[in-house]
Amino acid sequence: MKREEKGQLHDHEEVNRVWKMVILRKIIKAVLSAVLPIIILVVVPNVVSQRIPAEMLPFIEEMIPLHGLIMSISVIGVVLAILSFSLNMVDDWSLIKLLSSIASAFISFYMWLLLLGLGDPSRMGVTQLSVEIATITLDFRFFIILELLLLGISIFSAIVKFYFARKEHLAGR
Amino acid sequence: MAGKSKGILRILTVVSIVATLCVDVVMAVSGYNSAVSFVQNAMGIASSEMQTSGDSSTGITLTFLLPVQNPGLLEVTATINLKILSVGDEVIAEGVDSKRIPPGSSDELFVSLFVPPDKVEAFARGRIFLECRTLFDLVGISLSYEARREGPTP
Repeated sequence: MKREEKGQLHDHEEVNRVWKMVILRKIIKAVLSAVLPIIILVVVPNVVSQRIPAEMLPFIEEMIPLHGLIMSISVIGVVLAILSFSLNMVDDWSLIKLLSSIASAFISFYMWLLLLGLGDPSRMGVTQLSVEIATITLDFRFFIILELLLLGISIFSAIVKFYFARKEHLAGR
Repeated sequence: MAGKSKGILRILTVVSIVATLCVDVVMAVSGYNSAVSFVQNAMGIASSEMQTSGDSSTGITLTFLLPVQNPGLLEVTATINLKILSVGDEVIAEGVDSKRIPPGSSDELFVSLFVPPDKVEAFARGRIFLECRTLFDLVGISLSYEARREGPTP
């Protein structure tokens, strides 16, 4: 009897240990996935902007609102990191995961609008830079269409994943 | 059912990853291509000179020769549009030339304009428009440069 109890206790400890390992792995995965947008969208743009020669800055600022653009990209990076963390912490059947995935896709799309519009998302990929008597026009509307396509795929994929995960979860209960 | 759903999810994941990679590659390659070819050819405008012949009694002929290059990885369509405008923005003369330049090669764009004698006095300024488009002309960068006519009739 005692041996049986001892065995049960051992099993319980083993389950606890495995459970802790699973949680720990989940946290590590979530943290790592959150670090990536921080590095790419917060650290890199700020480091690069600080390395631009001071004499070139007024010329660049005349055409592009560089400071505002880097600030916006950094904010987007932090938001994407939070969403990415929450995405990896919750289960596939959770509504939070679906909403986080959709929000993440929309924010990524907005970021491309911002980047291709050189700080002004309303330009929809067509940007005009005026330098004295010359005007340079960047026509990247096709990139916006491609990003829209990716947005559609991401949302569809998130909904389908949520649908199957939810179905499986409800069947398991 | 579980196997079927897993299969659908796997296909969806693969499609999503492949689509993202394809979009990233297309954006990087075509963005780089249009930028390098545009910078190269826009620099050529500064070194090219416009030739003028004739006078106000016979009319003026303007010729512009621009060497164009494509140092990129995709085919580029280079277009030049030259306009002679009056003070009131009326187009007096216009000329266009466009060439498809394969990657790694070069060509020339040539525009010749004739300003008739009765319009020579109205000739106020010239507008040069250079455009480099790539990826089946879906992506492009253009430059519009305006130069005022200096001094009396050439």
